[in-house]
Amino acid sequence: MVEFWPFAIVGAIAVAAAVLMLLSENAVHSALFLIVVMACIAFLFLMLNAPFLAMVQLAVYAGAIMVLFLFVIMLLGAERVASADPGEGKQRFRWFTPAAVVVTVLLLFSVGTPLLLGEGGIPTPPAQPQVRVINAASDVEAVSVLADGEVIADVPQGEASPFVTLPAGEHTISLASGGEATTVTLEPGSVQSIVVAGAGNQPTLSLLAQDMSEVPDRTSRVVLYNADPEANPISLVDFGSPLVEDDTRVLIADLAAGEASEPIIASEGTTDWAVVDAADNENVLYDLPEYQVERGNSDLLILTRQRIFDGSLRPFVLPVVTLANPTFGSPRAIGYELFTTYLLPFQMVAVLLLAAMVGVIVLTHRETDKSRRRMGRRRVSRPLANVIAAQVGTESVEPPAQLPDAETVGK
Amino acid sequence: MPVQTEAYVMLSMVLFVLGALGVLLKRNAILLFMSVELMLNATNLALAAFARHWGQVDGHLFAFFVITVAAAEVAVGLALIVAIFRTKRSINIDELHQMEG
Repeated sequence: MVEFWPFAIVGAIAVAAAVLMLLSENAVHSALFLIVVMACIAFLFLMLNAPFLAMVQLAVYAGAIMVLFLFVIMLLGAERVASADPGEGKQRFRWFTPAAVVVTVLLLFSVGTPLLLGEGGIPTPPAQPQVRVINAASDVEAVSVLADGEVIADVPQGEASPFVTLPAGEHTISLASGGEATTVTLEPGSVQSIVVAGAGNQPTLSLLAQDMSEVPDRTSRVVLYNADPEANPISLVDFGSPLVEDDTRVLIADLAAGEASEPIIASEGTTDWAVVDAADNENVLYDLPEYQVERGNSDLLILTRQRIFDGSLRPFVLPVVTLANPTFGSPRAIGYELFTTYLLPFQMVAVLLLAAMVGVIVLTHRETDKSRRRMGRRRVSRPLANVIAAQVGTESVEPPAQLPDAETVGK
Repeated sequence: MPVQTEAYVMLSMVLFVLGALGVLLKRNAILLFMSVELMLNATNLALAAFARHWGQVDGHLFAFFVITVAAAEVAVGLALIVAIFRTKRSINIDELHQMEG
C-alpha cells in the first residue's frame, strides 16, 4: 500500500485538472490545466516502470504540443470564443448536452462495473519459463532434444539454440537418439539451459538455471559450468597483462564437476583468461587467449571435452554468449523492440510525420503566397524612370527639350 | 506492493470519459482538439498499465506511436484551424456547418 497514496493523490489531481479544463471559460487556462493532466500522467508512467515513456510524455506532450496549442490560441486571440454568443445552433441542439452526458456515463459504467465488481480482476498471464539447448557433447554431431516427446531444438555441435517457451510445470526431457530421460520442474518465469555433454554416443543432459537480467553498464555476466563429469575441480583465472608479472587473479575458484559457478561481473575489454586445475594454477586445462568480454551480455563458459585428431579427448571450453535482457521499460529495451519487431511501423510513422509537415506548410502558406504576387505586380507597374530615380537618388531623366522662351529669343 | 492494474485502467477510463464529454460539448475548435489529446493520454495510461501487467514492453511502444501520431494530428489540425480562422474569422464549430468553397 506504500504506492497507493501517491497514485491516489496524483490521480485525483489529474481528474480535477481535467474537469477544470472542461469548465474554464478561458482557452489559455484550459491549456494550462491540460499541461497539469499530462504532467500527472508522466508521473504515473514513472510509477508503472516506464521512465522512457514518462520523459517522452513530458518533452513531446507537455512541452512541444502544448506550446503549439498556446501559440495558436494567442495567435488567433481565441481565448474567449467559447463563451461568445450561444447562436441558433445551440438552441436547435438543446437536447444534445444531456444526451452526451448520458452516453459517456453509460460508457464509464459499461467498463467500470466489470473492472470493479468482476471476480479476480484482470487475469494475470502465467510467466512462461524459457529453455534453450546447448550442445557441448564430444562425439555427437547434432542432437535433437525432446520435451514430453516433442522436438524443441535441433542443435549442431558447439552451438546453442534460441530460447523456446514451455509451459511451467514438470517436463520429461530426453534425446531423440534414445538414452535416459530426465524429469525436470520448470518454475514460472525461470530461464534454463539444457546442456548436452559427455563423450560417446549417449551424452548426458543437465539443467542449468540462468540469470538473464540486465548487467551494469559496460560489463558482462560470466558463469563457468564444469560439465565434464570426470574433471577435477577447476578454477577460472585471469593472467592479467603480459607486461606485468604476478598479476594473476583467480576469478572463480574450486568448481567441482557438474557444478556451475556463481555469476561474476566482468568489465568489457580483451582479457587473457584460462581454465586451470584448482589444485595447481600452473596446470592450464584450456587457454582462452584474448577472450572478448562485450558489454551487456550474459556469457556461459562450459568446460567439456573435445575429441581431437588423434582420437583422444582433451579439455575444451565452449563459450555461449547471449545478450542479457534489458530492464523492463528502459530506453534500451524500447530501442531494441523498436528497431527489431516494430521497424516497419516506426518507418511508417516517420513518413506520416513528414507528410504532416508538408501538409501544414501547404495549408498555411497559400495566402501569403498570393499577396506577395500582388505586391510584385504593383512594383513592376511603376514607371521605370521612378525606379531608377529611387535607386540613384537623383532625378535620372533629363527634362525634355523645350522651345526657347519669348524673352530669350528677343535678346 | 504496486498499485493494481484495475486502478490505473479505471483512472484512465475516467479521464477518457471527461475527454469524450469535451469533444461532444465544446464549441471552440481548439478546446475540442485539447479534449482529443486528453482522450489519447488516457489510452496511453491504459497501455502502459497493461504493459506492466503482462510484463511486455509492446504497450510502451504503442503508447510511443500514439504520441507521435498525436503530434502529427495536432500540427495538421491547428494548421486547419488557422486556415479556417483566416477565411471565416471564427473557430466556433457551430458556424462551420455549411460546406461552401
